[in-house]
Amino acid sequence: MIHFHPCQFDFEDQDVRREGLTTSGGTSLSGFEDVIRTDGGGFITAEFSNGETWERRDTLAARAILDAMDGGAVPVVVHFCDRLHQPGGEMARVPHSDGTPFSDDTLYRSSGAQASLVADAAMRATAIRLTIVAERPLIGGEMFTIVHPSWGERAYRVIGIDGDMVQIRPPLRESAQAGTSVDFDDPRCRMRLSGVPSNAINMGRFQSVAVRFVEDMRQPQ
Amino acid sequence: MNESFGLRIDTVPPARLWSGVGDLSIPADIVEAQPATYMGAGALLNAPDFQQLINGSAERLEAQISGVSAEAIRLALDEAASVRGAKVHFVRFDFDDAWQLIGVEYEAVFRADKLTVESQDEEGGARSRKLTLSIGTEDTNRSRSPLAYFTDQDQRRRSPTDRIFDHVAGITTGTSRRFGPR
Repeated sequence: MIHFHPCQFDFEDQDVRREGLTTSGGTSLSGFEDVIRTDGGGFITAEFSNGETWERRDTLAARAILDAMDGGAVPVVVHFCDRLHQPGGEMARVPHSDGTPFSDDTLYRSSGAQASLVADAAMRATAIRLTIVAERPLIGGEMFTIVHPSWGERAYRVIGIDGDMVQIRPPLRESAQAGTSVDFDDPRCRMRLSGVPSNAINMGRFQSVAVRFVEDMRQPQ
Repeated sequence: MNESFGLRIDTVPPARLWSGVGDLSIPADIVEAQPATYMGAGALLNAPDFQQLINGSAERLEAQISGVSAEAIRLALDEAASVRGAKVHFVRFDFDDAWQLIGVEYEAVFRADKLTVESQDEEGGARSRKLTLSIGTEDTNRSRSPLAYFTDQDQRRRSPTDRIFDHVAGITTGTSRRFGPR
């Protein structure tokens, strides 16, 4: 499975949202329009643009990964890299007690938010019960990932909180059992490329990458 | 309230497609003996509007299905024989505001006629492949001219043991037949 980390390319614009289709009943005499949704809950799309690939290796990495997606035929796990808007807080790094790092200069790292389901959730559930230990409280708007047995990594957004009951969109792609890990630290989603990504070179050297993904809703094999 | 639409094609096994995204489980009902799963994800491209008329003209509709999903290919290849004449249910799914299913309504029943595969050029040099399922009401195949009759064959398709139109094949224009055994 290909993993796409947008932080690698320092995208200026990042737009992860849920899209779907509404059907309007027409505009009435008073100018009011009645709208229903007919998409069954919608799907996630992610758009990244103005990526910066000044380094030679970044340009080559972008070309390699965009080509590996085979024009959208293969699924790719897109990481959203948006820690600021997650409950995990700033990642804390500490050395050993004598102030020394590991031999490769890395430090101990805080683990972020720990969350899991406390009750079974049915397929297409839009309210789940979960327990979370995190630096910041859940306030709505956060995204999380559940790794389903057959649909794989799927991203959901918190839209409301009532005690340990959390309302989410889109509806769960697959049922999940109590104890299933809910990942707020690294929200990611199984998606596929949509359209043609841009990777034109300016002045023979600099490149700006833009790429768009839609959730991969093909039946899992 | 939200709603979605689906098609159930009574092949063996049945093909179930709905307009939403992802799988949709529905409980057993008058059509489904067991809880069933409808497949979403854009497999169903468009479902036509239909009219319910009493003594109106017979309808012919076309539903388009994505031609690249595994389910559609199964329908086109493996089930091609059982698609013809298969019952097609138009289904409406009602959801509450939290997208939980609150009702499944079978709005109309049609019959599938033929499945055609259509491959065409799209913008930007891409190609698209779609399956078009042609469906009609029970009356669609019979023209409504004065010389048309209910035929034994049609009636037997609906109800295999019903012999009411047994003698229709023997009728010619201008003759009148006596009722009763021959």
